[in-house]
Amino acid sequence: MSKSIHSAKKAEITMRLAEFEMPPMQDALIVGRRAPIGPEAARRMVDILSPGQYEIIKVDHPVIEALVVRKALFNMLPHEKLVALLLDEGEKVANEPTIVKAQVNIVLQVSKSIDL
Amino acid sequence: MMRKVSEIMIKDYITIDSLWGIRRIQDIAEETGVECFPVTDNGRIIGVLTRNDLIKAHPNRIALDAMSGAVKYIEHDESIWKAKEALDAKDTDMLLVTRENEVVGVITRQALNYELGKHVDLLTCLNKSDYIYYKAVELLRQGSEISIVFFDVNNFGYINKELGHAIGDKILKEIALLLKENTPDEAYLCRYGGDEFVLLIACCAEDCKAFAEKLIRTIKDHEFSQNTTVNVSAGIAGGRRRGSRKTDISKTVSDLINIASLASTRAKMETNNLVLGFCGFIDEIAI
Repeated sequence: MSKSIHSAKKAEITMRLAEFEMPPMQDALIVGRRAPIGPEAARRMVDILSPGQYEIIKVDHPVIEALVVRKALFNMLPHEKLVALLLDEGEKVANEPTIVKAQVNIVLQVSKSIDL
Repeated sequence: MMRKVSEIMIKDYITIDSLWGIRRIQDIAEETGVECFPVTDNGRIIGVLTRNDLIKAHPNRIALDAMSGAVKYIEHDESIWKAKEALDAKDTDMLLVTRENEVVGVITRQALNYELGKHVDLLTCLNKSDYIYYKAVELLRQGSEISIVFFDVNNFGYINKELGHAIGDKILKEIALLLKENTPDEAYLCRYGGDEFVLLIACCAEDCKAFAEKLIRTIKDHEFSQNTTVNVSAGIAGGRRRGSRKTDISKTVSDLINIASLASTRAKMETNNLVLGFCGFIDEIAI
């Protein structure tokens, strides 16, 4: 009695399509001291993708080497306050080899009263 | 007399592009044995990538994000001691050597330390004469008054012959230590030759006479190995340059050391073992 052996290889493909974020880094990057991409490489990358829109801020921090921040945010919040905020929150999640992407939504609430 | 930067600089240095990855540069370092690289951007040197940078940086990083060394320049005709001071002060491992504002080579800490090792006396651990020449020239350039005290051990040949060279060496080490311990911070000491030591002080020859006398006495009063009686003679020469005169400073220093040396020979005949050879405007010296 003859035996026949069947073998087959199949590939299942799953695709997930989404729109490419422009720029891919959103509002800020927190670059660790031993991250695979350093601040200069990040600056050149964003300068090509979004010329003139981001600023590199090198910081004196044991873990974080630099912040790459969307310049438009500084129109809404003073420079030093935003940097302090990003460092304060960033150091809780970032470590030396990582790059953390941060989304920063700023909503200004203004309330004024005027004489009638 | 003084070893210059141009004599030990590396002319065929390897530059790396600022956008090259660290992994690629590590491969080059491994292949060539080079540990420090100037980093260029559009052909212009913008920084220095050191061995430490190569060890610490993530291999995916570009040179621009890994380099820590700043670009520091030194003129080709400067002394190697000047290069050492520049490297120590500027926290970098490499200096770019320039001639007429053009980079003609590099000098690394590794190469410099190798060279400087040749200028340290192995017996006494004191610098050799090259260092004194450098410091003397530097002080004169700054307009300072300098004095050279040339010490010579009396009858050292006799000590060597009577007690042997090993004891002779031990005595030289003890003398070096005594001189070192009694030399103020602002003075510079070297072993000039066999049993000769030179002290460079930034003051006039008259003022350092008392200091030389004290050193002669300190050595005389010291109990040396095997209760050997050791005396030294000293010759002094010193002064300052006239600001307006353009003279070869290296030659002036050389002349000054020569006068002090001859004075130390004469001092052997004196009861106090000390002779002041010259004191005045040293660019008028003619030997």
